[in-house]
Amino acid sequence: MVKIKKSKKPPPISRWLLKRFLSPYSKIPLLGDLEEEFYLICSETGSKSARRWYRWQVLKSLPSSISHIIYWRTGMFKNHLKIALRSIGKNKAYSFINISGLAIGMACCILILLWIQDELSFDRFHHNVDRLGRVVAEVGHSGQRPWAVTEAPLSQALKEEFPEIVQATRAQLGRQFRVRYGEKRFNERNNIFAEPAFFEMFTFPFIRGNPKTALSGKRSVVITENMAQKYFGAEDPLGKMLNFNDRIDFQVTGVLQNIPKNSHLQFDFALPFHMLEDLGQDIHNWGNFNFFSYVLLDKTTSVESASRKISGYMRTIQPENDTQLFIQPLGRIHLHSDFEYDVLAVNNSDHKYIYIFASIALFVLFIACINFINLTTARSRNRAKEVAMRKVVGANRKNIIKQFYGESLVFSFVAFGCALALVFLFLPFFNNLSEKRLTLDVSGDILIPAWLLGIAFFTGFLSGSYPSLYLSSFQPGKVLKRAFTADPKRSVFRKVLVVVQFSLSIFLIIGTTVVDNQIDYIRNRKLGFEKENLIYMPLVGGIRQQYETVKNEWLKNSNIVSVTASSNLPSFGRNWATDNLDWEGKNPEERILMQGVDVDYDFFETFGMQMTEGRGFSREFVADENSSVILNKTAINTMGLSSPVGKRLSIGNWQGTIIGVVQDYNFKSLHNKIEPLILVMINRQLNYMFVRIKSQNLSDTIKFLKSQWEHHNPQFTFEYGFVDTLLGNLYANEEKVRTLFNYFTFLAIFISCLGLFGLAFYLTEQRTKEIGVRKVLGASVPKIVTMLSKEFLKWVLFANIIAWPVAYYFMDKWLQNFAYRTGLKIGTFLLSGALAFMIALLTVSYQTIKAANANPVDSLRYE
Amino acid sequence: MKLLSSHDEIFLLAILKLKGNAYGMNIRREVSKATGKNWSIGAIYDPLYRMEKRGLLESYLSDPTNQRGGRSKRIFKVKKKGLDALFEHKKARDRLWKGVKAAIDSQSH
Repeated sequence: MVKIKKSKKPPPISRWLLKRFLSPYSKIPLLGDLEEEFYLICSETGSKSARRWYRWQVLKSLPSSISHIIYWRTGMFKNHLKIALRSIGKNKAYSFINISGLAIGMACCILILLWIQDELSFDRFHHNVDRLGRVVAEVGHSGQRPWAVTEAPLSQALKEEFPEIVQATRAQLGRQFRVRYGEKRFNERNNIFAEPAFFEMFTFPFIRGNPKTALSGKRSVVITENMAQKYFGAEDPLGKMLNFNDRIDFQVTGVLQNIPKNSHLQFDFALPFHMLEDLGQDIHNWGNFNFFSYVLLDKTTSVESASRKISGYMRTIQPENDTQLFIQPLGRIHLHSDFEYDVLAVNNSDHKYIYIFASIALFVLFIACINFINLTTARSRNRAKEVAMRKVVGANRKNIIKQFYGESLVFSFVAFGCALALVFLFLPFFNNLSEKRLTLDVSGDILIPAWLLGIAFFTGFLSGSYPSLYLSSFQPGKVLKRAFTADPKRSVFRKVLVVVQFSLSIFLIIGTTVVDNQIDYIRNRKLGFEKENLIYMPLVGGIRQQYETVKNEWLKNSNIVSVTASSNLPSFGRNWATDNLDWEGKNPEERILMQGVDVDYDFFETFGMQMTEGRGFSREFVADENSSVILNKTAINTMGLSSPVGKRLSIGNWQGTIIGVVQDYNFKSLHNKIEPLILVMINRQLNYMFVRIKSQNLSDTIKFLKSQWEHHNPQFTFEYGFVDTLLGNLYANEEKVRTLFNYFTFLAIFISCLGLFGLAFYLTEQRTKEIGVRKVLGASVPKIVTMLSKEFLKWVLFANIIAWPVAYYFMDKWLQNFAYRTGLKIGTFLLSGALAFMIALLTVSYQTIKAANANPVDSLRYE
Repeated sequence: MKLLSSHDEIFLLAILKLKGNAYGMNIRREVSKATGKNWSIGAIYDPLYRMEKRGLLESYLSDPTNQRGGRSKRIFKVKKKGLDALFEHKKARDRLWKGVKAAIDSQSH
């Protein structure tokens, strides 16, 4: 026979479709008809048109074929559905355990899914999201995290130098103002300073006003809907004047829709960038790293290629500057910014948590599915006869498999309905915990309903997989002859599943314990300074001139112990860094990166830091303001100095003398190790004031501070905070994760226990007679309880052996995120194991005690 | 007895016309030729199956042939009941048609 060329054959996909969907009545003749006519057309007008014809025919006949299928198959389907619903109704306890387990599992999954979806949606609402990026600087020292902030002139310079960059803007967040309209006065702290291009680059929709010109005026302000409501009520806000700090009037040139929660930039007021100059900031010169630089690329340039292009740009400005620039895509800022000086850590997250929570979601669902599998197979005896009868009247194995898959799908969809209800109920609570505003809004994103259905189907198939294979394997002959006994191999499989389930639970218990320990450890760790009763205030604009006066006024109050100032908040990094360092006895090969902080007199006293050698800065030594330095212990150790006090040290051309060594303190968050630090007075770049107060009469002291401050700086609001609260916020993200982690672990364990409870119920039921016989022969109740429980507890012990190394590996990895961490203690593992053991024991004992106490007369009559 | 639909009528006539050679492809070609509409093959089997269930038609599978990729044809034959229905249908129609032409002519004047 002549081999037919491929193109001469009917299109395979269409043919497959037909085969799949045709009813038995017309399947064979129809395929034949089509093939015959196909070759006819082939010979008449060529294979191409024949293939087109064939596809068209298939497409046209699909609707009727599908209706056929439904007709042909509904008969059995109805029967299966009826049986499934009956079996749900008949065994209420069993169905309750299965459905509630699956429902809780799915609800967890859905919540986590919504959470992940929200995390991934950050900043995606900008139309240009793929073309937008933030310029980030790698400041040339290995081991340093890149800086999220860049220098003042950078964005404009880049835009002029590289044609790929179409638009650029600088932005700065924060600062507090007293805003007034008529009689309404509020303190506002969610402010952004940005250049006119800002609203053209980002998509913050305007309700009123023109985005192109809104920030062009020197005295214009753009406000959000909420603010418009707050200040103007029903009035038209456009063109109205808002007064800032009782000094300057700003005209409202635009009203924005409220900023979406999934924006990394959060603000209520957008002000012209040049306003910062009036507030005393240098916005023109290199060296001032106070701004985020955002760029918009043209349509043909990818972020990566633009990033490569600009990377060495700083060298063209300053030949010895080895800063590497790169562009961080806007969409990555939320999850991938562990940069220095980034937007508030509270608002930024970490992509690792996405993975962690996704795995927890899967764990919980998996545990629920295991429940289903175990309970269904443990109960298989009850269904054996049904399966046998079906087989006798002509069902083949495939039919039975389909039936039980169908049944597990029914279960999973009933559970899915409950899960949706649970999600609706608990969403407000979950939002509270995760500080999000999630909704179960299926209309917005087509992916959400798809995912939800996906979860339901996945659960149905996963939990139906093993039972359907197992139940369909029954041999009718054996079952009907009553020779049916539980296959010992099957119960091994069940044991394996329980072990897996408990391993997961133990893993989660260990995980939460370690996370809890680590966070407590961070909270309570000695930082090298006393963080309690310490108040800080930003030192901006005119107040700088008044600093000494205010300080002296304050010190007159007996509740105020001491006052100082520094360039940085403690644990929020340093002011500058240099490796252009020389000292007596330095090895010329050696390069040390030294971090610098500017301080004022009384710094060490106010912070309660200890000097290990020498002295702190003192007014009695005139030279201290100009040529004295203090190093931390780490710096001395890295430099290898034996008697540092009195040694000369130079930074570039500047010469200084080491007058003291301070005990190491954490000047960055505890994610970082303590690095070499130098403290000087010469720069006098003091950005924050610190006041050490006595713990009694707190509110009076603050009132006093405020009145003095406002007396000297009427135009600036008194803005202050407590250092210990500030430090707490550094780990807010970890705290949030800890709470969520705790809840999900609890649920996972709860579901495991539900399953174990059910299993214990069925397995003891199966041994009713055995227990009766044992009792008749003289076994005591405790003996029987031990005998029955031993079985289950063996599995839990075994689960520990699996969970420990896995937990060790992963938790060790997580702890690597912290420079300062609690070790993984064996106690944690033992305790977690013991906890799981106790929970399992409690769960099982109810059943076993009940069984052991049963009257043997009843037990022996059983069946 | 249930009346035939005009689709049924067309199919029955086509099968009768094709004599012993009435199977899917031929019926489709015949019907397409007569109506000037391109019928899809899948749409043919549905009404045929329905009529078979009503007892108007019978069908059997022929031996597989090579030119059809080794698949058999389902060959249809009109049963007595089908033939009766067809004539019944024709009679009813003729009765109605009588006088219709005159009515249309008088209306258009």
